[in-house]
Amino acid sequence: MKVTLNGKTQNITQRTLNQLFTSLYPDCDVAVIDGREARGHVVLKENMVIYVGRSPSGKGDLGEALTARNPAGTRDALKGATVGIAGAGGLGSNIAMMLARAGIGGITVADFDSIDLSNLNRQNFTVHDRGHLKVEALERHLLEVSPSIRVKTFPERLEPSSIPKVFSGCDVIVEAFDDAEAKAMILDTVADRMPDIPLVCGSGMAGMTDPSDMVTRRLSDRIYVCGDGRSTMDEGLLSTRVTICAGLMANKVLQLLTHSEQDV
Amino acid sequence: MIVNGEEVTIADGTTVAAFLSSRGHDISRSAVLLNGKVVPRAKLESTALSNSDRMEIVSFVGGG
Repeated sequence: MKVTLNGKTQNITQRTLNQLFTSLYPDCDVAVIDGREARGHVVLKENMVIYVGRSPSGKGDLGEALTARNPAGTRDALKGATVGIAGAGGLGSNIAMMLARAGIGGITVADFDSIDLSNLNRQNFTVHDRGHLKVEALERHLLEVSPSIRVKTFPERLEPSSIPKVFSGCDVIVEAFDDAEAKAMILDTVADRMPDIPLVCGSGMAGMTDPSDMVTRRLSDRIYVCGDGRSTMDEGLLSTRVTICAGLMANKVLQLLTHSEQDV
Repeated sequence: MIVNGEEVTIADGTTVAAFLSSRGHDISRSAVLLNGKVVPRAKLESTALSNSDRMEIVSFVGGG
């Protein structure tokens, strides 16, 4: 059958991934098929796109290569964690990608919107994604970086009544809306209905001032707000400062999940 | 009482909602923490302030 194997389209006779490993790639122990992590017993099919490689320790763990440069001792906590992200725009799409690169186990993301060309200045999408739902395009990009990540998508507008259900089982929730009222709404909802779940919010990342005005503030036991707290969309939004704010937020999430948070 | 780090004197029985509107805060974009705990929106009208309270008002700005 014809498949694309490590970038080359070719005919193969092997019927399972295990047979492929044994006969062609004896040194390899991990595989990605059609964008997802695959195990050895998988039956191969015509036109599959297959990447085969080797994990650093030879234990067949794909995530191990991704997180090889992580700070020591952070890998298992991140792999076992699920983060809820409310909004898949400038903050949400970038935060999700950063968390995926850090080896987060699961992401649950909600956004009702589709991708427009005006999103490309700061959101982690490309022209190919135009017109697609943000959550669906984001899921594809996340799997391209971390094929073993579990992504749950909710293409809907979040309301106080739906938030506890959508984000049930999440270890941390990230507020990544662009609308100020929606930001206040999710803080109110999480504090009231899910008080044990940490919440990381973003407020103030517009314009082009030196980004040293953006900080991470601890509001309460479990609530953090990142940003300058001041700049509004009238100043324009650029990927530079939006991504810096996304970085502050994602970094706080990583601290919370690995119990290495600093008081700020 | 202390509001966002500044000392403020309030009349007895002032509610959180009344204080917010007297200061021109838009409740729909704000979150209020009283002595470190979030005051749920549904309780802004019924929560009275006292001069020993420490309040933090967060006014969200749009962008993301």
